Amino acid sequence: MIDHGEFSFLLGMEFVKLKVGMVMYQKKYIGELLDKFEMESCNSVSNPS
Amino acid sequence: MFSQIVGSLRYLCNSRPDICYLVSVISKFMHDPRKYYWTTTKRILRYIKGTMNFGLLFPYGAKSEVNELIGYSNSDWCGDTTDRRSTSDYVFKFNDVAISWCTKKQPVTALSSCEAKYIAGTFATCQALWLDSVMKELKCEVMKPLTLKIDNTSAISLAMNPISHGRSKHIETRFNFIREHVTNGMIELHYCPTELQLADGFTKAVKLKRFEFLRKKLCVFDVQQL
Repeated sequence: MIDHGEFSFLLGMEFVKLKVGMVMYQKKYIGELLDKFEMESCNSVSNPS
Repeated sequence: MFSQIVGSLRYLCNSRPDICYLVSVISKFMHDPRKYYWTTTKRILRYIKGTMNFGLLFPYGAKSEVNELIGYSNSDWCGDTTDRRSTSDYVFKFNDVAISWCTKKQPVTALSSCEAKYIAGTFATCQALWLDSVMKELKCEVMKPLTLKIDNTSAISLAMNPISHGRSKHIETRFNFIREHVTNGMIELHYCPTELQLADGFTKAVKLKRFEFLRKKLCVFDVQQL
């Protein structure tokens, strides 16, 4: 088994280490999703409902 | 196309408890996507466009002497306009970090909000027991009894008193599962006011201010602002 060091990308989840803690987010996945459904240039809203 | 979007959004729910409720709403109409649901779906996509950098935070130093697992369970009552079933949901926080959440339509029709919350409590109990055994496997013992917070006092009293009376006889026996675990001391039920009920945003659409408050409480933060 090879040790690839600390993991940062796993199954579409990205992990970053910050001063306060570790954050799990899916920025790349969201980008791809918006691209796929042709919503990449839409205006954003702050409340989804 | 609609089901593709719903499927993609469902996967996104793994790191975003804040959109969980909306995705569950649009999933109900996968077989027949009307224009109205397309609008809703587009709005979700617009929301995630604006919050691309948001993610779940697991803070350092959260580990304390005793590991605490707190569950919040909630439900709406007759939320679905077509078959009048209620939606139950729960969130579990392990040392103040959200680790497990779910929103699901109940399999039976509840006659009162107390009953709906009682059934929701049962589902949360199942999940709590499972989480407890997982934690045991991970050599990470959780403090007993596990706490479950419900914002309905009558549902709590129903679970605390193992007495069957006329008003609660119709509740199916499998939902009395929670009673059994309260009696043997595995689970403890606590009342929590609706303002502090973290699972609130999983059953209904909430206003922006409340939405942001709940999002913060569920440990969803903007990476760039941390």
